[in-house]
Amino acid sequence: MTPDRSGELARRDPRAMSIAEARAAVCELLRRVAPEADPASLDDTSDLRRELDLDSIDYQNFLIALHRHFGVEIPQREVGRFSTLEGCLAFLRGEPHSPPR
Amino acid sequence: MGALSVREFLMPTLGADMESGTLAAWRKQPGEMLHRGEIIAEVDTDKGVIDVEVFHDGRLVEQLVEPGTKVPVGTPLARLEPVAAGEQSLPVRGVAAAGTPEERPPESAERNERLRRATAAAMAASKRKIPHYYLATSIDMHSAVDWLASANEGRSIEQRLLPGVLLLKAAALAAREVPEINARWEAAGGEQCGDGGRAVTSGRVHLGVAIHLKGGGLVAPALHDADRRGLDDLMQGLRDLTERVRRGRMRSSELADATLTVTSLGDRGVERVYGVIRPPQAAVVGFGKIFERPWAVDGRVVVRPIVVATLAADHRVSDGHRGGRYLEAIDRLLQNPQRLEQAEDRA
Repeated sequence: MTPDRSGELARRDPRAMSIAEARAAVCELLRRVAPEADPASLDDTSDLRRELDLDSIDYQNFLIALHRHFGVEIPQREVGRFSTLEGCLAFLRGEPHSPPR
Repeated sequence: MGALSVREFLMPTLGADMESGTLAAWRKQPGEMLHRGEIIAEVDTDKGVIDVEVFHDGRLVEQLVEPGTKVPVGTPLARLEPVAAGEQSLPVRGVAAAGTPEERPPESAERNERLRRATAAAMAASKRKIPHYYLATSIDMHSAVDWLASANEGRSIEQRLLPGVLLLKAAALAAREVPEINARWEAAGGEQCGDGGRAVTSGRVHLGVAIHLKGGGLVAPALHDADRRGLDDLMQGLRDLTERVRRGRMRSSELADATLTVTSLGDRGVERVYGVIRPPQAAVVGFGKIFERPWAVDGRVVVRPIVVATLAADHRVSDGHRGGRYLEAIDRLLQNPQRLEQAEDRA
């Protein structure tokens, strides 16, 4: 298991966290790939990649940070779900993937 | 031992657009051994804090510049003593590591503005003085995309490859076939990009990867020996480089060594990008996004993922014929992605 490099953030099962706690943890991970941005000010449904100007490598680094921090596997077919905060939180709560409307 | 001469370690040049740097902190103290590639000091520049590496093994004899001092490129920073093989480092007691390498430097609007201006000056000089020519070709990516999908199956997110890594590897291998693309223009008399001068092929392929900084400006740090590295290694290197660029922690060799730049506007951007050559390099390769398009195969129209590869190159160093050979080589390499993976040690 790769050690969690997130330091100050204690690792917890995301399903045991409140939505606000999980949201704060996800924003902290986003801040590492986009240090100049303020992810906490984001709308839950806005496109993270566009709003934070993430390139494909930044986005991959963000997904890896989620994987390491929360200990969740991120299958290839699910990577699109993480493009909004809402999608990240739904995945972490274990909600099944709903096809895009 | 006495026959070995002490050598000066100079403030390195960190790109054509840098004239000076501020010594931020020493990472080694007098008496300590350094191996080639180890970090001796941190230098604060418009591109962030740069970890400065040494080129030779040696022992640090003396520090010549105090932290906080701004000095021009080429100024002696320290004296290093060569060390005979097998000699061990002196134990150093009670010396605290200088600086805190994990900390991000303070972001400042002023730094961003300086970097934006330096980028502007280098690009303006390039466009004014380098006779660019431009080529483009559309490449069918279906073999590469299919190969990637099966290579990624069952891999954890940490091991997954992105299409951009195949493009980088193909660009690096093709540069071996057409060495004029992987060259630098050495202008006579120190005039940047000037017409008097000569082309020198670079030998090793260190791909500069253009990364846009969110505060404005552009950096293109090098992925060293990209032609000889496996895809997993390159992917890891690209992720690490991007992560350090975001934190403002590049290494001196990454800023100084690029022999050919690749610019890619990623999977959300435009269909094609023509770059501006970063002097003293002699070419820049561009990749647009991969997008689906009708494509004729054996007299039938099918839908294929396509990427447009472009080349902007210095006409003093190569010409459209050779440039065309280079783009053809990229195309050919991308039709056999499994061979990109295998081409690790064909030095």
